[in-house]
Parts: sequence; structure tokens; C-alpha cells
Amino acid sequence: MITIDLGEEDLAKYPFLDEAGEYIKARDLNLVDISQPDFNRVIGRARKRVLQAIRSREVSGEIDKPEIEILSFPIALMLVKATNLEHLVSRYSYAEAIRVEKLLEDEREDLIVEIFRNILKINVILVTSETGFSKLNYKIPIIDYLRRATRFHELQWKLINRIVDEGYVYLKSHELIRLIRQEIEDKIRDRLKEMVVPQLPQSFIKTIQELSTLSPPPPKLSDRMKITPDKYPPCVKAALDLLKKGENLPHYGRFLLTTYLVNIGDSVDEIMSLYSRSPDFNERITKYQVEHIAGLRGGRVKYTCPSCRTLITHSFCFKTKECNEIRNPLQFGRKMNLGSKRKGNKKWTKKQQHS
Amino acid sequence: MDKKTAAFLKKKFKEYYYKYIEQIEVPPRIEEREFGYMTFDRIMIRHLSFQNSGDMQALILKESPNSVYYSTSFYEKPSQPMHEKGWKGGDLAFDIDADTLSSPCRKDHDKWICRICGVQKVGIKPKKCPSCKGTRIHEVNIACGTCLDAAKNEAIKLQDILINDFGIQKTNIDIFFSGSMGYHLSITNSDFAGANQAVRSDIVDYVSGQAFIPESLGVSRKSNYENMIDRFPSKSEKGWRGRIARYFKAQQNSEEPLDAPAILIEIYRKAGYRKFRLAIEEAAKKSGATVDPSVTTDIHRILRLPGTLHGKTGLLKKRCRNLESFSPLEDAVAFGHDPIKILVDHSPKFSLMGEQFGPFKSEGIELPMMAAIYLLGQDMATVDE
Repeated sequence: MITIDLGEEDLAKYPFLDEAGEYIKARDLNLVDISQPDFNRVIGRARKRVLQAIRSREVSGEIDKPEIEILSFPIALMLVKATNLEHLVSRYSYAEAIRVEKLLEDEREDLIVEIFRNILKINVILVTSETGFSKLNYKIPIIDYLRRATRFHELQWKLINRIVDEGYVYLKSHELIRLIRQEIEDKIRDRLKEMVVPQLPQSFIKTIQELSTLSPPPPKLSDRMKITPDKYPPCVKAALDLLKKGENLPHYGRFLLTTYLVNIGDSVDEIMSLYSRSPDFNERITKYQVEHIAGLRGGRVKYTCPSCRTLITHSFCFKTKECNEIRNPLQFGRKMNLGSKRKGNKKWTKKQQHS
Repeated sequence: MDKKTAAFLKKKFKEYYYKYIEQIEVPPRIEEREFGYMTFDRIMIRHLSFQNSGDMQALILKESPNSVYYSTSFYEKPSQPMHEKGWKGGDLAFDIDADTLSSPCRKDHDKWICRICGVQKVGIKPKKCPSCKGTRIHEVNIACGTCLDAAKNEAIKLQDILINDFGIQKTNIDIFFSGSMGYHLSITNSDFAGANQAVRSDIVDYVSGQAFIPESLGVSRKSNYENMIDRFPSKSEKGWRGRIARYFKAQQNSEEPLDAPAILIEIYRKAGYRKFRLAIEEAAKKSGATVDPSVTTDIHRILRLPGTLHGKTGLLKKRCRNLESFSPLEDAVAFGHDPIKILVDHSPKFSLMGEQFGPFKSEGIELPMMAAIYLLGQDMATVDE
């Protein structure tokens, strides 16, 4: 539980807090109550929340009517869940997380610290000293930072590019907040997943149908064309070149090449034929290893291709412009740059540059 | 290795373990660790587990293996196949190997043999055999005192980063000589026990100075000189910014000493963004500790058990209570001076307990046990009986 006093406005901003749940519980509302005309504005706001998520991937922060804001959140969740659309669950969770992120950016420091400590169990400490060349307001334990920051692929998020001292990472407030967007999103998604929708009154059904119709289905992945070697990412090309020249391919290069080819659908035999040129080729061992990676042996798990970050660690990244900020070699040439499509990300990037 | 030599080594290892079994370290949470060993016939046995130190010692005494290993991770069921073990967490482990550091002395003691045409020469292994152009080249390398000093230097750098940046108490960092080419550093009880591979990989990049960008010093492609001096780090700054400042300060050989920000401004003015970035990347790599990334990131790894013998050298994997004063080629020597005659095929010069041996070439010679085992284990000699 939060140890500082929370006003209605705080609950309106962060309706996923336990305190907001208590607030609603205290009202002792049921489905019949909320079907009454008095509740039209709450239902209207709930519908708008979902519509905003569908249309602009971001729910607006409207805290001038805190009561409506607090009550509309669980109703919006119910509407989303009732559509039974998996992609709307994701889209709505993301849009709510963006709303929270933006509100947190202007939040008072003590409440930020409380939210982090109580909801996310991260020991955030306020700092006042200037470290490095910019003002850093917070520090968090290295492990708490890394667990989240390793999801980001920009080099600025790597630990080495942070101010680190005696077990803590120092952060500006918007960096700290960016770090937890995914968790807020996950929390909302988990709540949606666990939710059981009761039999809803007729007045809700129309809204649910409307939202279902408006919610665009996710883009269909066109049937994957066979990827030809000229379309391979530079690291895979480098691995193949070494093999073709008859040079010894380092262990990590082999792992990359095999996992990449397995994942684009090459057969074990096709992959084996590449290794047969290797100076130390041993058919039995190679077959065992390729089959293991392909998930045909041992744990029966198909290995995925190592991420670009992992390849950097193992000195096997040969990045070119065409890589276009991909996170995994498997995305090469087919990434639609999802990052820049997401509104929140875009704004974030701009902010970063100005800071 | 021929059967006679293998049997001899096994016998000697057994004698050693009978005397010193208590000196083998018992890893914390022993019942949750996987153990493995390699026999002198080079067969690897894995997925063993022990409930207590007595069971572990009994196996080592019975088998007297070439090498004994334990997992850096702990599991629900350590003796099950990998995918059924149930990973619970693991030590944060680092491996520093002299083999990956290009010490200048390597050209004098390393040796390579072409597996295709049989040509062999002293020096660094070439990519292709100069004689037959083949690429199946076997490398024979030993770590001399100079190589091991270089490895120790990396271990000291790593220890410094772990203490100052990661806030890990010096007493919580276990440091061992690996028994052959380098050092192992291991942190058992820390916040990092539950860290996944991505987290461990970022830690490797941190300690080894990988992917440091000029933006962290306050410089971007669009930077102008205004305010740059205020953004550049001083040598007393924490973390990597300070480390970079200290690197350039130490490199300075001008008569009028400049402070670190002024040196960095000079470099940027002369080089521009792109070359500045390259200079910074090089500075970071040199200031970081060279570690084997796969040992830290692979959470299913097994490492040599502290206090056991290394099958290639007969040296111990030995705890370094004081890294600075630790002398691997004396402190980790397990065997004594009993003389024994062996047939040396080839051997570079090497030293143990301050005594110099070799170089030898195709000769029968009487050597103290420690030196004989050192050569026998590395396939440089065979027993003569």
C-alpha cells in the first residue's frame, strides 16, 4: 500500500492502484446501477478510452473529473474484454500505459518513488547531486535497471552508457519512467486476461459491437517467401563467407548461422551441406548439433536466432545501414519499423534529442 | 595421449586426491548444482549431483578424473537432462583467458601443427598452413609467466569494476587461478543470481568496455564546441566516463599537461565525430577487462571445481586470497620434485616453482614430477617405462 496521502486526482491518474480499487469498492456499485442514466458520462468516458486506443494508440489523461475517470477505467476494461478480441487487449493495454507514462512525467517526485516501490517493487532513491553532465534525479539498483533496459535495443540504454556507481544506475525522470512502460502495459493486460465478464445489460452490447467493428484486425503476415541468400543479414552473410572460404567459423558464428537458417525454414540437410565445407567437418557431430537446434532432439525446443545485442557481445555483429535498427537478424529486410509507428515512441525520441 | 601416459596421470592424480581431498572446495548450495567430469580417455560425464561434500569427494577419489566441473547455476533437479533441470539461478561468473590476450611472448612459446601436411612451427597459429594452404591447424599453447601476468592484470581491472561500479564487496568476489591459462571470478550471493542471459550479456559488455558511445560523454554528430568542455568527464568521475577520462590522461605525453576534458576536446577537434567515436571505442575496450562472454552469459555452463587438478597441467584451480601477490606458477603447483624419466616430443621453455625447464625436443629426460606432469598432460611428452 502507498504510504503517502492520495487524492481523487491521483487515483484518476493511476486507476490500476489498489487504492483506486478500494475507492470503487466503497461505492458498492452493481451492473444495474451503472446502467442508469446517471452513469452515462462514465460509460461515455469508458467508450472514449477504448476508441482513443483504437484510433490513436493513446488514451488521453482527463483528470478534471476524477470520479468519472476512476470509474470509467474498470468499465473500459470490461468493454475491451467483452469484445473478445485479442489484438484489442494488446492495443488497449499499450494505450493506457502511454497515458500513465505521460502523466508520470509531470508527477511529483515522492509519488513516483512510492509507485515504483509499491507497485513495481523497485527501490527508487531520490538523489540531488549532479552526476555526469546532466541532472539525474533518481537512482535504482543495477539489476532492476537491467531487467527492463535490456528490452530496448538502442545503445544509449546499455549499462555502459549510463552513470553507474556502487551498485546503482542514475537516471533522469523520463528515463526512469520510460523503463516501466512495458510493466504498466503488462499489468493492465494481465488484469484483462484474468477478468471474467458478467452478463451485460443490453445498453452495453451496442457499444461492444461498435468497438469490435472499429477495431482493425492486426495486419496479416503475407505468406513468407523463401528468403534467398542475397537477402540474408550481414552477420549471416559473414558467417557464410567464412564457411565458403573454408575458414574456421567461430562457435558463435555457427550458432547464429544454424539458428537463422532453421528459423527461416531451411531443412537440416540443407544446413548440413553448408557445413560440409568446413575444415573440421564431422558429419555425426554436426548433424546432432543442427538437429538439436532445430528442436528435433533433446528438449525438443527450436532455438531462436540470437539477438543483435547478443551478437555485439560475442563480437559477431557486422551492422550495415540496411539493418535499420532491427533487434534480431530474423527481422532483417522485413521489419516495418514498428517503433516509429507507435506514437509514444515517436514523442519519446524527440524528447530524448532535446534533453 | 597414449594409454600408458593416461594411466600414469590417473594414478598420480589419485595419489594427490588421497592426500588432499579436504582441500577441494565445496560450492555453496552443493545439492542444487550439476557436476561433471572428464576422464583421461577424454570422455565427458555430466548431469551428476551430490547431496553433500562426502559424496562429491567419494566420486573424485574413485574416478580421479582428468578434470572435475560444477555448474555455476543451481537447479531444482540438477541431475536431470538440461531442459528438465529447472533453473533457479546462478553465480555471476567470469573467465579470463590468457589465450585471448595477445601477449607478445606468445610468438616465442605457442606452436601449431598442420593436421593436413604435418608441418609444425613455433609461433602464432596462421589462418592457413603456409606449406599446404590447409586450414585444419592445431594449436599448442602454454601460458608463460608473462601471459599469466597479463591475465592477472585483466582480473584486477575486472575486480575494480565489480567493486566500484557494481558495489560488490571485495569479500564476496571469489577469485581463482583456473589451473591453466587464466582466472575465474565468481559472485555467489548477489542481486544478480536470478539474472537472465540478456542481463548477463549487458554486464559482459559493461565490464569489457563494449559499445560505449560518444553520446555518453555528451557528444553527438550535431554537437558544436560550445559547452562541450563542460560535458566532458574529469578523471575523478564515477563509472565509465571517469574511466575514459583517466585513459586519455594516462596516454598524454605532451609537455604541457592538460586536464582530461581539454584532451578530449583536442581529440575531437582534430578527428571529428567519426574518428572520435573510434578513439573512444578503443579507449573503452582497453580500459575494460577482456572476459570470455560465453562463460558469463551461458547459464548452463560448468566450470572447473576449485581445489581440483587441471588435467592438462597438473596445476590446481586455486583460490587467490590476494590477487596482487598471487603467483600461479608457484602457488598452484600440486606435485613435488620426485624425479621421473619421460620422453619429450617438444616443449618450449617453461618455469615452475621458480625453476626453469626446457626447451626440449625429442629427448628422454629426467624431470621433477611437477614438470613431468605439466608436459604429459599437454601431450608434449609420454612416459618412459
